[in-house]
Amino acid sequence: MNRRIQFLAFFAVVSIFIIGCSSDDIRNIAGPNETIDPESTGPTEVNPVDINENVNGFNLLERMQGQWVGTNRVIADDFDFFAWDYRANSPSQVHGIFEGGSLGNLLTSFFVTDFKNKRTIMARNGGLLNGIYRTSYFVLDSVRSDNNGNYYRLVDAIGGKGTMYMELRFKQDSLYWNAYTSRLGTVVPPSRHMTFKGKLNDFELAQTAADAVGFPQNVPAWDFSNGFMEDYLYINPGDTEPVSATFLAQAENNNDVFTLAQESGDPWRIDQHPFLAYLQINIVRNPDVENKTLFVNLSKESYTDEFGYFVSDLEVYNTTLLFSELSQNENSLLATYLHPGTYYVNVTADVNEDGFISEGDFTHPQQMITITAEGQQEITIDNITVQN
Amino acid sequence: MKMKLSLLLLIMSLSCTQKADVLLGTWRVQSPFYKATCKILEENDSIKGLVLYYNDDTTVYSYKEGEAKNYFFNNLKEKGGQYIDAISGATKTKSSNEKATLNLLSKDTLEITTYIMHKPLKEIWVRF
Repeated sequence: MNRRIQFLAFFAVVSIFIIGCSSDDIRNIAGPNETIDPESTGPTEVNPVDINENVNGFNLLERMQGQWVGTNRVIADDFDFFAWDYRANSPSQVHGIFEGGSLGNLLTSFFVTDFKNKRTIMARNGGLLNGIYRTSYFVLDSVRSDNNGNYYRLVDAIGGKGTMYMELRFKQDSLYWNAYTSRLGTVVPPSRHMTFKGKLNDFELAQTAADAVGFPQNVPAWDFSNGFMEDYLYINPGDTEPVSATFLAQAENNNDVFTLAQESGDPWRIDQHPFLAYLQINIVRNPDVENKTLFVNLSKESYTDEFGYFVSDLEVYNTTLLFSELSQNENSLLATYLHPGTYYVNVTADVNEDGFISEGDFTHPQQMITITAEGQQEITIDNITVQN
Repeated sequence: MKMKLSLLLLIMSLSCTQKADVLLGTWRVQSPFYKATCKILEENDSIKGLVLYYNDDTTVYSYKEGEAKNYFFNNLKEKGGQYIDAISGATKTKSSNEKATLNLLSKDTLEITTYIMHKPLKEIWVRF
């Protein structure tokens, strides 16, 4: 069996496995009062869960830890393979990011804070997508634990469920994570935006991070006891008040996350996040891989051997922690919000242009890098010369 | 003359009803991301898609007689061999060219195109 077929077959098996596992008996997980509400046509009240009274709420942070591997539908794009790498980056925050490369990135971190006179959990969600910097804040407003697992709902910290929300359900080693959005309140009620279904594939990395930062602790990771600076909140054109706890910035020809973060008024900027690091990945193309799409993947195990050929163990693909794609004219990637630790950097040139990592593609001998906490490091891959 | 007009209107009405009739029934969504069952029915002179069941693994909804109804489609109209939802849900903003469309691939198979954030999403529904 050639490698391409093996690779596709592997993901088909993984997909079937995941789909098979999600076909539990029909149960009303959301409970009798949590139906699709046709009347949700605008902002709704926000009532945070007090995690000092409901410890199950605090447990969300611990449940979120780990590398989750599964499938994802984002808006109308389906990913047969998707992974989230959630690790603690402070005593009371867990963080994960999808670093898409040319596309941009999308992150969500969950953390302890004080908000509306309650000790609660909030989520910071956003990223830099198509040149638009966005950060939105959500707050935990529903927690339930029963034989269907542990259910958590976080709603927009200003507009509530009527503006946007996310739901997470953990059952044994499965995570079901759905997000519902309304284009910041302009197309209501919110509709399904992301549907991730995954399995816990690795916990070792998360445990190492937790040990390093003394996670978990019920202490605020950031102070939101006074709410948000209203002057910076995004207001939809034609509206007079914000309907979302969202901060936006956009500048022509500027993809610099640091300046856009400042311009947006985001109350908790990238440079204020502890423990996380940066990695600048530079690629020098040889003539064989000029004008080819590059897959830039960071993983726990290397895709290639010391000679640069794909290893035969297909399980290495499931150790992927970040998976980015660079278009034909791009030669660098800045990985931000990166967890400290050791990674293999795998750059694959899609020489056969099938859109996958497969036989015929060019790779390089395995290359490892150890990222230090709050470090700013750089790696150059200049030997993508091995054709598989 | 009046009788002829009435007859014409009756024929037109029957012909429209016949076209929509092919959609009536219970349909199951084929999707790896969520499970759903929809009943396409005639209600108050409109062809609607009543949500009987929806389960995306966090939100679960089951329609119960006498409770508030939710609809996938609110007013399906036939146009050029396609069925278009004249009102695709109670949205605050709706682009006129982003209406849900239904194509009958066979008597038991529907191809549904909906729009999420301006992006089209095609799904197959099969008769239950």
